[in-house]
Amino acid sequence: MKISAPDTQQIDRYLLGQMPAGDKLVFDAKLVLCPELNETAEWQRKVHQLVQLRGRQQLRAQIEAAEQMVFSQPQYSSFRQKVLRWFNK
Amino acid sequence: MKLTNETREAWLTRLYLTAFPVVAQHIGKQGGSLDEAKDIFQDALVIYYEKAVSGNLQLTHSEKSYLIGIAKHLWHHYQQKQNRNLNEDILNYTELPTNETLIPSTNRLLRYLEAAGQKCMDMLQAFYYDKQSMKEIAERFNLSGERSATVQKHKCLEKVRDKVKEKSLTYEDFCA
Repeated sequence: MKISAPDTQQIDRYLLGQMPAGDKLVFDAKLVLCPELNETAEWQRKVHQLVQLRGRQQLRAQIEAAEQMVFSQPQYSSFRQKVLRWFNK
Repeated sequence: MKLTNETREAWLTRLYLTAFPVVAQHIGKQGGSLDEAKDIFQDALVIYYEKAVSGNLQLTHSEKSYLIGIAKHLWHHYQQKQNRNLNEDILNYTELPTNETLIPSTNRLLRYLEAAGQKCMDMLQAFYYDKQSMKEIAERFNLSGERSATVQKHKCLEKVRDKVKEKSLTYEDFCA
């Protein structure tokens, strides 16, 4: 059985917890009865995880860049003074 | 959370300038190092961002206070861990994996997906991670409207899903 676009959307709603309780119950049953749908849902879940991971990696890179900037550029010297005095022992 | 008139870079810089000194003072006074304060603040920013875009924040306090609260909370956990000398991951409760804990094949898979279609990955990330609306996605990716963006997003999802399946089955250690 080919997984159709409506199924992809349904799987998404299921994975994102956006299904009403009744629909979720029906979908749970479908997942048990249709191994192919179940397998596709698992791959889709994997995509969600990968996208999440990618997003977080990019955010972390931007955070590190911002940190690097405020700790190195001349216009932020008063910020650095404010911060460093708590660690100069 | 909408970063309408401010890029994410400017937003991050502003939070460093306003909130980090308070966090540094708190951690420094309790004997922590600057590196520890930096690490804690980085994690706090990730947690804050993800909560904010998911609409899981009730901002009764300012953005700055909320962020400082998260950082203090993380520091508290970190200290407890140090005191008890436990090996548990301090971020377990927020489920933030660090790069080191990722199995190598996951990063390899991400690099492959990047090469196979960066635009699709950008679009999926805008929707699933940054929680942008279809309207915002349509504008950002020069699509005619929300409907077109929705169709495109689903095509991308299916394309990436097929690629993940295809590649994963060839990676023996892909099992996370």
